[in-house]
Amino acid sequence: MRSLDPADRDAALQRLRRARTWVVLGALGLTGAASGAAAASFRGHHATSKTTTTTTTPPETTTQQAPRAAPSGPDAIPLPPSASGDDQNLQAPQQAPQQAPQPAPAPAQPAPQPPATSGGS
Amino acid sequence: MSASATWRALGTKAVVMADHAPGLPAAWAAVERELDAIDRSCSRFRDDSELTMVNRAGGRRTAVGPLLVEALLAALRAARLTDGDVDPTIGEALVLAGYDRDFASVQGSRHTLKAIRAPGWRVVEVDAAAGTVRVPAGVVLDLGATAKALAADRAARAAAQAAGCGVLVNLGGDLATAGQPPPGGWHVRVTHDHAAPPDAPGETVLVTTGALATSSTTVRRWRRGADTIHHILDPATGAPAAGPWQTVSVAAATCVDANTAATAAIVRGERAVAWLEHLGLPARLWRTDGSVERVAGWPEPAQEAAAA
Repeated sequence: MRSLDPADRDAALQRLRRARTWVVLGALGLTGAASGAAAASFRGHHATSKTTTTTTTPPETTTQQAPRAAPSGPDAIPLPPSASGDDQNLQAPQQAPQQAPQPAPAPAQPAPQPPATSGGS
Repeated sequence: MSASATWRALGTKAVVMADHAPGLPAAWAAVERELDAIDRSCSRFRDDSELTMVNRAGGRRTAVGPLLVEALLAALRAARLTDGDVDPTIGEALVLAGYDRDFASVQGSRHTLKAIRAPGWRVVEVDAAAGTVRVPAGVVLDLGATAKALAADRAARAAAQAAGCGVLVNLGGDLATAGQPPPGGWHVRVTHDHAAPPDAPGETVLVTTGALATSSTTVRRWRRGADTIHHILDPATGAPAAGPWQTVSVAAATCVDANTAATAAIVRGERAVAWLEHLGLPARLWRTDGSVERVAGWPEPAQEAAAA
């Protein structure tokens, strides 16, 4: 059995503590890197949940003439999900079509945009 | 103030509406780019399209671009989710029925229709990673039931991003929206024919999210022998669907889903009501006798609600 000088022992313990510190710091670093990679990989899902929130919020603007602020980026535009490639069932809209009000006679106002037409083609 | 543009594309009428007029030019340009790309990839009637290359490959594997891969995956998903009522391998049956060119050029024939069942979507091999497609020799793919709807979805997304406002894209009655809708929603008239005037029979609804599509047996009709046939074929028989519905409109999260459900409903007949209800897809089904069924929250028309 090798005898150990107290000074040698203290130095060895110091090295052990340093090594343990590096192991902990390394583990923390790897965990952070893995979290970042996972967040980047699932960015699409994140955007979808944003879409849900934004789209169900009724528009605050009440006049069609009011100027709108430019969106800050692509995420500001609620976009429909992609339909291709997944096995999810056919998806209902977030809100069913609503009954259109009967057009009220308003001769003083400019004619509104004619409705879009959905029919066979 | 909203604004719109109308032009011809994909053999039908294309419309883009922007909720903010200054955004229209950018939205229109974005839609045109998408439609051009879809046409070059997915048209059955263009000699130079990727789909034509696949159909003429004689059973060999063909390298294709990501857009056709996406369109094929959408078509195969539609087939899976409808148990084959919407099937991209219906192409040969359509050709035999006489729909072998752009519909504007389709002519009647004195010969009786020779119907053949579709080979079935399971024969289609798509390798998305490698970007290759293979179908057995003789199988003709037709993406008519899903590619136009996919184009509407993609175009609406691209237009909203380009314009920075709410948009509605309408491709021959296949509608997709993106961005913030106008206050109250987009006014959409559902009727038999997408080219019908605003006072044609039907009803108007407000759409705030997602998409709406209509399939109808009342349009794209031509003569075969003594019969008048239409373009919605039942893949199980290759003959025109002969159910109780002449026109079905469906709202869904995407136009691909809406058009898949509307076309499948025409093929499924009476079973479609319970199916759509089960899926929670708001739909309006118009019988050949003129009566209407509304399911899964499709609204009653204003005058009937007021009377009730």
